[in-house]
Amino acid sequence: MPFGVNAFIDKMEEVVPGSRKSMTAFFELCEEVRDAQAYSSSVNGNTDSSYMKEHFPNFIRAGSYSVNEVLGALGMPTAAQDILNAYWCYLGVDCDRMSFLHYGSMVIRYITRDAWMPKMRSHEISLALEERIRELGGEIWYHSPVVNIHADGPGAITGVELSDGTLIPTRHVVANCSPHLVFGGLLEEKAVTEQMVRAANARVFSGRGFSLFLGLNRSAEELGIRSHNYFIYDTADSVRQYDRMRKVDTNHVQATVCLNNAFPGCSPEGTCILYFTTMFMSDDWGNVSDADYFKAKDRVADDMIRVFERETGCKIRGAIEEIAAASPTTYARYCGHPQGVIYGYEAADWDALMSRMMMMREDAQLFPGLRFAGGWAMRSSGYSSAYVSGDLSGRQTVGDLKKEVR
Amino acid sequence: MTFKKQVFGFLDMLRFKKLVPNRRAALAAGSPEPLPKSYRVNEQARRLHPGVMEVELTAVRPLCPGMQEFTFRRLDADAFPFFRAGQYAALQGNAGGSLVSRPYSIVSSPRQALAGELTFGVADAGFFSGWLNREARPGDRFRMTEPSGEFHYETLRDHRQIVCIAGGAGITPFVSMARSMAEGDEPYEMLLFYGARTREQLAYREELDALREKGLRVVYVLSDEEVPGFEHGFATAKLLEKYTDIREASFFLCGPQAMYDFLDRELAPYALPRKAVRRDASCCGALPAEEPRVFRLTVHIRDRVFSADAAENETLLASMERAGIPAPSKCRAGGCGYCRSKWLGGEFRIAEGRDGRREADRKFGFVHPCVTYPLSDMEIEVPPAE
Ligand SMILES: Cc1cc2nc3c(=O)[nH]c(=O)nc-3n(C[C@H](O)[C@H](O)[C@H](O)COP(=O)(O)OP(=O)(O)OC[C@H]3O[C@@H](n4cnc5c(N)ncnc54)[C@H](O)[C@@H]3O)c2cc1C
Ligand code: FES
Repeated sequence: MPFGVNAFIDKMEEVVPGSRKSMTAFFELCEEVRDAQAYSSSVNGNTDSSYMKEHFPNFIRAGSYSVNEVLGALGMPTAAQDILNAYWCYLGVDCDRMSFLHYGSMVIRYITRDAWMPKMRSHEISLALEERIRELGGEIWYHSPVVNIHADGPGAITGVELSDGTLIPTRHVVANCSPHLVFGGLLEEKAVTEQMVRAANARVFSGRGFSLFLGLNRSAEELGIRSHNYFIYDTADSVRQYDRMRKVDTNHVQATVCLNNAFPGCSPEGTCILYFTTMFMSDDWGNVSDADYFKAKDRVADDMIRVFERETGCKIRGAIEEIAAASPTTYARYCGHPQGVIYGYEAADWDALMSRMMMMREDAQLFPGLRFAGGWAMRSSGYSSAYVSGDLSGRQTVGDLKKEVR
Repeated sequence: MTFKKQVFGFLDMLRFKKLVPNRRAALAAGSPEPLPKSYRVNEQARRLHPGVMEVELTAVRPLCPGMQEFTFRRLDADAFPFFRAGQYAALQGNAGGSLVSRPYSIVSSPRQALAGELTFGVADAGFFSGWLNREARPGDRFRMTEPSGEFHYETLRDHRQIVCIAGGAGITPFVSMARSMAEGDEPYEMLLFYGARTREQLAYREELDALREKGLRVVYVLSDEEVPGFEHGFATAKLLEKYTDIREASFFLCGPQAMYDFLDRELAPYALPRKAVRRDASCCGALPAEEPRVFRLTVHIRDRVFSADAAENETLLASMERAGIPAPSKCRAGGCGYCRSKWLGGEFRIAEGRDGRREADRKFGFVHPCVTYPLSDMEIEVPPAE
């Protein structure tokens, strides 16, 4: 599908005649969602409800419904829904349980502003941020896992302890890891309340990640790979698909990127880079034994290549020069996230984005002095969401500090 | 717009208002059961990637003149991690006042690792290896990094037929690869050419001969001896042709640079794709220098500051180790990124062909001290060793 609202609607009408009206209504609704969110951000979440009702009535009306409920209400033909919903795996929740507001705001940004990435990948953003932190006088310690958050009791943090025993006194912590890890292990037990335990237990882990990276010794053009981004599913029904993603064996979903088609210079002339991502919606991967581990990775990788070749007709197998696979175990190793989850908590049903945002302040009251940032926090996962939540929690922590001084 | 005219009504407003109370109630209705203390997949990550392990040397035995085998067990767990045959682990010890770390290819198989045993074959050459051969005794304790490295078979990339060519002490990863094949963990068919000067210089001959029964094909190539049943000379293309179809195999090479250069010339006429020939990385050492200039290296590790002499012909990593500064390292070849450090000032150069930095790291000023030589006084920030 092309970028740009009009181009998107035109293309949809071409493949699904009769879809124009509902597609137009869809994008109008998305625009209202986007505007409402911009307003909400501009007032730091302290929205005025009469202003909201007056200016963004449809935002409020559609606000509590799922993607499929809204698209149905808009009378969108099923075939058009199937195409439009192809992006669902970006958010990792099937369209019966994904909030329309979340999906709508993602899709409208994606279609109007295109997808962007730094030439040197996310690492470049991370380093730009880290350089700015240094410039402003901050320090960054790598290889320094936090193993304990010390506290005198609920809401009374005294410091953090690193794996080598180093103690850093502080009253404030912004945690970029999951509440499950913080309340289940890092935070001193005497400071953990039943409320925190219940709140963490109530939430659902999102997908566990699996990625395959290929360095191919022929160009994308030679191999016939024309798109930057491919979504390949077993079925267009996201609910059924989600179910198939619970098991390693029944999951053949892939979101596949050929970076060279966005940035031709990303690999040497005559080569290209292809990477595949999928998710498992349960802990099935945990059944893999250590001795079967490398073979299990190969099996998933082999399946990804098979499905890609079948669907695109591009023969890539013989061109593999470099290959690396990252399993949930790999993500658990490098990111520390429980079970190798890469998307934080599922932003589904009652825990969808909007409800989280509206409860931001209340959630932070669960443990004064402790805030969360990143994929597990109020904005849910994705790069921009992770950065924005860090910005929010950072600014709020500075606010907490200022209050203390006063 | 159709949507404005009542698709949703007043009830929708109410539903919206309920988002917060609903979520509040759902959070409060979560189970009061204690949260898990550990997770299966994270446990596996810790088993397969324990980081740095505490180990004890349990046995030393001679393999051939100038080379001994060292066997270790773990002190902090029962088993070593399962790994890919062909990988290395870095052994860290205190040799004569220096904190030193060297990567060695693992000789034992991944199954042996699970049984609690890991072995290296170490030639008596160089600073730490020489020290090990002369001084190390069973009962000595060391630290060891988890198995790492990309010198191993890849099922989806390589031909089923692999041709391994070892020169001298370069036999070590191939012993593990042959054992792993015999144990049913690898799908390849292995043809091994093992070059040495004389029969006496061949390590692991008995083990390799025994592995023939399990499908290993091994060809000994002696340069200084003519013996029936052994090939004489070097692993030339002509010799390889005698045993295999060069174009239908994936090559794994481990040996001295001279062997790589020789094989490059021999294989050049076949114009094999890059993917068909893989070489094991070797450590980046000191450069020859008559009277090297010596600079001042200032090292920050978290909030501590160290200082060291840094000779222009030695890597920053070697200078730090000499000064007893605990800098992390694994491959010592520029590729793994484990020593990655922030550059804060000073001129430097990077060993030719070994700049394994990511592009963004180059842009924002990071270096890999294991392959970086100083050209002036320098200041870097190094992550703490585990
Ligand atoms: C394959 C893949 C593709 C993706 N594609 C996209 C995309 O195209 N667009 C998009 O927007 N998003 C994408 N995402 C999602 C995005 O990467 C994540 O949402 C985002 O990186 C989350 O950032 P984070 O900082 O919360 O977590 P992470 O990036 O996981 O960082 C967590 C950090 O915390 C550290 N840590 C953990 N525990 C401790 C501790 N105890 N002490 C100290 N440090 C600790 C870890 O080492 C790690 O560095 C993708 C994710 C994956 C896996
Ligand atoms: S130790 Fe591997 S890059 Fe330096």
